[in-house]
Amino acid sequence: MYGRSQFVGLSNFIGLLFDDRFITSMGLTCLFVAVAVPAEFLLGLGFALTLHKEIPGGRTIRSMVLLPYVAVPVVIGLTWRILFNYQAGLVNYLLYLIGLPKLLWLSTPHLAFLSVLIADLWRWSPFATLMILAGLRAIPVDLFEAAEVDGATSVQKLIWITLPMLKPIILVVLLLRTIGVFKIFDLVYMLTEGGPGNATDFISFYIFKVGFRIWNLGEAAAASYYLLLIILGITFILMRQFRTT
Amino acid sequence: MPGRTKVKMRLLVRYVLCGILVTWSIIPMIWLVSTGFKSPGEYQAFPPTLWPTKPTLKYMVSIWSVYSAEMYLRNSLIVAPVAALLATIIGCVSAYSIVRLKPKGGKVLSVFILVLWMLPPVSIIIPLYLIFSTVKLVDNVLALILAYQVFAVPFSVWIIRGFLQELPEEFEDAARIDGCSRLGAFSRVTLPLLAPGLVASATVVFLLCWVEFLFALILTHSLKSQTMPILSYTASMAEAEVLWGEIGSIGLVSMIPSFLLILFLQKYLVRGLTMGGIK
Repeated sequence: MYGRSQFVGLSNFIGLLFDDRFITSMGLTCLFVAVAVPAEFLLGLGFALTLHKEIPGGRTIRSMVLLPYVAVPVVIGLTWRILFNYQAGLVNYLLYLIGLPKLLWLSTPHLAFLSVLIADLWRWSPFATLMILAGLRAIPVDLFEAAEVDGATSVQKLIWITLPMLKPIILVVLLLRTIGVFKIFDLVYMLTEGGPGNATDFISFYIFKVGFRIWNLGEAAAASYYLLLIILGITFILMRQFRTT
Repeated sequence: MPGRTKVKMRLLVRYVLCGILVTWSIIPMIWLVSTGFKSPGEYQAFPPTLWPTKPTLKYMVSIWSVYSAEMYLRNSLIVAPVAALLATIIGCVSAYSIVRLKPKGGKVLSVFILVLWMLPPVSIIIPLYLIFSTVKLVDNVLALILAYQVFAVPFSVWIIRGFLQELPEEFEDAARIDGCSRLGAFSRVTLPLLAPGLVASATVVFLLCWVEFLFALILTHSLKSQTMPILSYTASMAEAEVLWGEIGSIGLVSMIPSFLLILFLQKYLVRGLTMGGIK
């Protein structure tokens, strides 16, 4: 299988640029990153603001909200496959309860994309929550007290104190998750196997298929280099942003 | 007192919001676990049932007797702790060297280590697979333990580095003035203070290795070395139909360490994750 190899120059790298399936997969992955990362962050911010204030039972509540993050991704993928099941899944049952028709979640292209997104948000918003909660704890209380004396509303405090103070954490979360979402594999494999068609054929899964189903390791390695370049490029941009703050 | 009512209302709203959050977070898990105890065919019932109507232990028994779950569990219980221990030792030594010995280019080095973590697993697995087949380690737990170091060590270095930077260097200087060697100062002064960092690193790495799927999928082929995530995968790829009952039961078993982590080591998990990210 790799016994005899032949030097092929840059042909793998160049070939990929004209490979429709590779380009589609890259585009799809970028779209997914562009939707999933901000959504994870916003959910995480909302969760963190809800959980931040100390209330009786708060510790237990925080533990339960953190649970999806420590779950096994393969199992999460399978769990959501049960939940998205056409005939008897919880999601379709909820739709039925509010009088909507059942949907073929995993076998309709756009819905499959949405399904992976929902499962991803379920798994990863707790991570953003965790980071932002740590950031919230580090904000000095007297800032808020001073603002209150000046008559600031909750929204004003959020916009003028909380968010600016959280900026470093927000950048870290965005950076880590951008890298993370580019690597999405287990969930896609278990939930949709890249399908239907190539609706959820994200880049990591694409590389896996080229490498270990078609056994074209050269092309898979070349595609990996492109992926790494994109990740490094985005990291570089975000890091520079980071340095200016 | 209207002010009092307002405070109470706010608390109520907060609890309602928390209730929604908790429901969203745990319903999928409960759903999975209950699937493992539903009698055959019940998972297809409409309307679906949250609790099994006729609970059965059939699947909880068959995953051990038919699918040898104990072998997978054994492998996971070897791979994850050993990998965590190894990564934490390497991470501790590396982080100490970078932070305290301040070698030339130490900063570049730590950024480089971070880049290692960024590598998509799917691209590392190709060379790893070729290397491990050359040295005949494929289908061996040792291969997994070594392969996991690729992402475990960077994580560990970053976490421990963060903890080390928080420890004042003066402690160690004082010990050295009093006649300790560098090694003595490290082991008697820094190491005990660093203990929470080491636990945090081991906890995070254990979790990462426990849930890892892709490397295990490529590097293991038999009961000799396959881990719990592979068992779930195998059950989902069964010939005739997806074995949902078994998947539910396997899911429950493979989540137990996660539950225990959240219960007993949550503090370290959280500190490890935030330290790795923030510093």
